[in-house]
Amino acid sequence: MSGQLRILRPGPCSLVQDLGRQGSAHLGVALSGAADTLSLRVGNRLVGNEDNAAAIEMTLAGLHASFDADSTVCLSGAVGDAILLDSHAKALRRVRLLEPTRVNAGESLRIGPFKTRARGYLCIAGGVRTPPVLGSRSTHAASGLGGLEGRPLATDDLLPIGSDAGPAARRLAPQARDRLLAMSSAHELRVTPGLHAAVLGADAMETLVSSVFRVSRAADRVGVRLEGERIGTTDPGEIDSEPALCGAIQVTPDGTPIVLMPDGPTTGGYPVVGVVIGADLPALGQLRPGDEIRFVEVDAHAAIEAIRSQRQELDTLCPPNEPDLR
Amino acid sequence: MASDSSQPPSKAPPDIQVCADRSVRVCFARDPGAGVIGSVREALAAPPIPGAFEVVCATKTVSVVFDPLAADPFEVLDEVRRRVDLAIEAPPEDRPPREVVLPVCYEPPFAPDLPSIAERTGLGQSRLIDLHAGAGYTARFLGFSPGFAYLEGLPEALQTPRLDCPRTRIEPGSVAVAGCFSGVYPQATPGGWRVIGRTPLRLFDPARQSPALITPGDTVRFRPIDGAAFARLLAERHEGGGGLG
Repeated sequence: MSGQLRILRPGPCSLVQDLGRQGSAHLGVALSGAADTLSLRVGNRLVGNEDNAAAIEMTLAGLHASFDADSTVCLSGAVGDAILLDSHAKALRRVRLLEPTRVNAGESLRIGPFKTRARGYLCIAGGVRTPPVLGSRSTHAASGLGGLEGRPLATDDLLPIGSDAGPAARRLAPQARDRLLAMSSAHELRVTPGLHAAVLGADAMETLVSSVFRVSRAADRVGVRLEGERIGTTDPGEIDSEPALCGAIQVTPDGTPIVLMPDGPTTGGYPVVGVVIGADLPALGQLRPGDEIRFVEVDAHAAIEAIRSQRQELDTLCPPNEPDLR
Repeated sequence: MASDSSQPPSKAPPDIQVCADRSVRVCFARDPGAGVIGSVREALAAPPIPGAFEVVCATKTVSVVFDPLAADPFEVLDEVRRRVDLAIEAPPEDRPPREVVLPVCYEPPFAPDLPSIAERTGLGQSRLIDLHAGAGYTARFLGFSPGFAYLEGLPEALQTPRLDCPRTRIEPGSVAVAGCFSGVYPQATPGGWRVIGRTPLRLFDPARQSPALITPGDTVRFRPIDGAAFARLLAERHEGGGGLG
């Protein structure tokens, strides 16, 4: 049975996200999608969904939402207190991360502020079923695409959710759960060199990997501005615009590094000192303002090896479900 | 990088490299023109390179983005090199670009920055409108926001720096200029370009067969209309009639 989720309190920024909108970047359409794709995949797998099912991404604090139909949910990503309440708002029990939970019609789930990491995911069996736009349900709020009317969720929104008649929810072995919980929480991000060393000066990469940077308050789904050492010895100015990658570390004329996030522009006019490797994008998506981070230089071969072994570990600890046709 | 002799001719083969673990970037030393970029982009986009999901261009660069778990970056690199060689060797196809004509109202309140450009250049507003609407533009690439095309061909008199302080909200359809480009804002977004008019057409609509009204390589022209025509075209669009999108 499919139903609806009613948003009782949306939290600071809750968005419908799947794995992103691929294939339209040449039209200026950003990738979007979950900032921590590892957590989205795990949460979806545990409720019997395919990896790309849409879930609710919550930033810094969770939402409070009620279910009008029986469902199965799983929380992943950032850690906060989560409580299941009955229809009279009486607490029934705690909901733990990476533990699929049955929810009965009329009950509500209340998720508090996140204590560690930035983004939590509420995955629901059958997925959030807002209409796909250009092949994805992901929200790109800056351009009003996807999700629910292209915007963050608001009080009294009704979200269609799928049926949970698919593969049964799964429980993880304790060791597997511990290992999965640790997967996207690194504060040391690996980068490959950018292709603008000639513009930025030879020591730009050296500065990037030898300093500690602090995530500023200007950190959102478009970009994360870093405080600390300035990159590059002279004002590099702007370059001719080039296609931009999520995870690229752009350097502004005053030497400030900005890491592009999934909602970032498809082209950019600032030189790029390095690019966060694919395996570390989920950890990038979990950074909070004030976090201190370091960068470590690796080459493309190491980056490929890292993402392959990461996916292998994920698939071993929590195998994917077959795509569903619901 | 200093000596002139190191400047390669524009026919020089581009630099092609793997970037991170998920992209291959084709970069010309200098702008080879919309035709060459278009040939390279098309050669890389179709048939799709296995594992690749984006082919994005700018003025000097074309990038292929792929899933590193679905394709080996160095195999993608080889395939990109092969296709780029063929695209550059092959004679350019003698195919006229698609032409898009945008009706534009250059009257207040749609043209807040026209007076300041007139003052700066010493040219009258009607002269500036003639210049802007008289030029032919080439859409070099899309970026910034869905459907936002960077239009090359802006007459020199209209080339001005961006606003020092970007506006927090630009109305959809706003026709603007900055540096050597003109552009049209498809959505209500913040923006730093100088606004000189507005089109009633919808630049980007994901529900359309072709969501972006302007695509890379298109020729674009602007046709001046008055406020009454603007209102009529906008009303027609909202009634959902016609092919104006």
